[in-house]
Amino acid sequence: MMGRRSTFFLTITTAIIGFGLFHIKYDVMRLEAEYRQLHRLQMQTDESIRILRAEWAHLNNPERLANLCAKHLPVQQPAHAAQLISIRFLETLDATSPTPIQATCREMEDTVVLEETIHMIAYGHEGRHS
Amino acid sequence: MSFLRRCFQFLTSNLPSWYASMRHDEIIETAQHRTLAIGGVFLLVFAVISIRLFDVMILNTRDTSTQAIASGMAAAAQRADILDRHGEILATQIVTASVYANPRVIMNPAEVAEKLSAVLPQYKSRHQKKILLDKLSSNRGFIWVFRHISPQQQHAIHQLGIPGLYLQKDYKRVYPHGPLVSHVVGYHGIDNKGLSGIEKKFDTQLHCDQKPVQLSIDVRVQHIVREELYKGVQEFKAEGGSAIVMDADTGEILAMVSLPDFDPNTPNKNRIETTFNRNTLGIYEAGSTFKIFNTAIALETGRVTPSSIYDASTPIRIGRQKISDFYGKNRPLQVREVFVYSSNIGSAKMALDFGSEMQKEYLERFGLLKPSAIELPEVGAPLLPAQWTDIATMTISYGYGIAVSPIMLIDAVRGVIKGEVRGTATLLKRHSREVATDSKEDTCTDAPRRIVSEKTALQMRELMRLAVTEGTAGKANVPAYEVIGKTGTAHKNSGRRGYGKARISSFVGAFPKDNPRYVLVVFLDNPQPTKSTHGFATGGWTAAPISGNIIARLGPLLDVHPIAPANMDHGLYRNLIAIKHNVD
Repeated sequence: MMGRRSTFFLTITTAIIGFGLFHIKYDVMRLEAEYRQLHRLQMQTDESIRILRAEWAHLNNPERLANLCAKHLPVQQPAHAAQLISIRFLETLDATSPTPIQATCREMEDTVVLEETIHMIAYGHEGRHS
Repeated sequence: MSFLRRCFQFLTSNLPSWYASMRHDEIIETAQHRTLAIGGVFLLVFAVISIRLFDVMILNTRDTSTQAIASGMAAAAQRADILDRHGEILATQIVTASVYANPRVIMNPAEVAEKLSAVLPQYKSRHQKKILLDKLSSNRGFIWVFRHISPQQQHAIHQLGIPGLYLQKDYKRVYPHGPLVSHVVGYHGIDNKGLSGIEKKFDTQLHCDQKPVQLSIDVRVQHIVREELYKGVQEFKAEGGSAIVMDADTGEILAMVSLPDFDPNTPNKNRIETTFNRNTLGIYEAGSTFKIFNTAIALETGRVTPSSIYDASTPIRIGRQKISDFYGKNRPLQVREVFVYSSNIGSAKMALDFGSEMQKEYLERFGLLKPSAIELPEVGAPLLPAQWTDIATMTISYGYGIAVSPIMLIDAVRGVIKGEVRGTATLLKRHSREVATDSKEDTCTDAPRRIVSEKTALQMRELMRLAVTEGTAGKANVPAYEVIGKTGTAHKNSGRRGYGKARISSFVGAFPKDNPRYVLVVFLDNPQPTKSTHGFATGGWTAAPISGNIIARLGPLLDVHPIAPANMDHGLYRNLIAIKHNVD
């Protein structure tokens, strides 16, 4: 009786373990295949990203950007040191100092008057000749 | 049917005897033992399987063998990126396809060659087509048709569907900025090995460790320097030129340009002379720029003060040679005048005062007696006098008799004008200023080194400012930035023929004066005089204006605040400049 019970128990255990083992084995094989596929996809995406980054770096080449700026932007030259000023210096100006626009206009007016005078001397009162 | 009958007869005749034998005690006991033994074996086998199950499912859930299978050979072929200080890619690797063929399988080589020449323009010419046909007609099992084709070509070849023609995944190293940083980055060969520059120096890190290398180079600064240097080389018809911009605080190199340069994307098409890095490999007698060191030594040793006087009225005669001044003042000069007017006579006498030993000791402290530790494989060693005699001491005082590379020169000048420095010239990004700004943490790990005293450094900066405002370096001046500097002109030594007419013109400087943030050196190899230089091709007429142009463009870019001019009577509008506009 005892022998039959242990035989029966062992048979059932063998069947369960065997089934479990093969189930897990095929599960792992399936997961490994899925992993390989995902990894392949990830590698392809990584490669595409690398190509795009290389292209972006090429598009960011300073010489290329400088040419594009010269072609499309209204101002043709990079910033110059003379165009920059410290805030601290602005504080030293008083209320009577002319604003840049006023001063420039005044200077332009002077320039125009000077040019007209030169033309009068050079060409008389007949006006400008191109 | 007869078989079944025989089986039935066998069973019926033997079953009774089997039944009888099973009742026999000995037989039963033997059977039980055997059953137990076999059962034990099976139990052992399944115990092992159960333990293994437990191990795989519970204990070791991560299995690296799968990753190894998945990654395969891909990792071995990869090479890490080289970046600039802001993360801009200077060198990277992309996936391409290469075409190969098995000529033994190809049925009609002529037809295949014709079809391939339609897809690959490299085989369009008759000569190239013949070469391809010869390869396809050979008896070899493998030939490369073409490496690194474009995706469109890859698709076209795939569409051809020619047996014996195959596509293989390949990797190509690309340099998106072309020749811009060629001498720094270098290039690499077909077998994925670095052959020059950073590619060679950090080959192991790039290839094996897969770690990107971030340089201190700023591509924007590099572009400005290259553009201005190129214009200067063209204008003065120089054989070549070199320029370096360095961060005075950290020693990081923001730009390093050597002309002529090359395109690392096409290494086989470059002339060998274009791969010569004049900044690190070129060794030159620097001329009057060495007066910076000579004057610094004299001031540091306390032998002179800026107002000490040296008689520069007559040349110094040594045998058949004589040391004289270029457009000399022919009168006694103060030390500051010796420097500003670049008097060779005054410098030589100053050097004799502190002597050879002191000169050698200080030049070693400045780092001028040994090769630079810059992170490039192409580094030249300085040429030093065989014997450090008084004559050698005198000639070294004005930059002859000793030859150094521009990188050594700029690093030494940095030490003199700052007084105390951290680290030496480097091409690697040391630390992030953005990070340091928030936490005020200085991540530079090199210990500070005192080169000269603060007083000497201050005096040298004042003298170098005078050299710009009143001396030969006036064309390097940018009013907003208080540029300091010194020009140099040295005739090139042609070996046995001695010194010829060809010269090296140079300028080394920094800005702004009070706390120099950036140091700059420009070298021109054999510039020619032009009409605008009134027949001169010295450093003041050639290298200095190039430097001035570079500084004027770098200042706003690098956030160097302009210094307010002393006389502001004219008001703000005087700072306005004419702006060129695009006219449609």
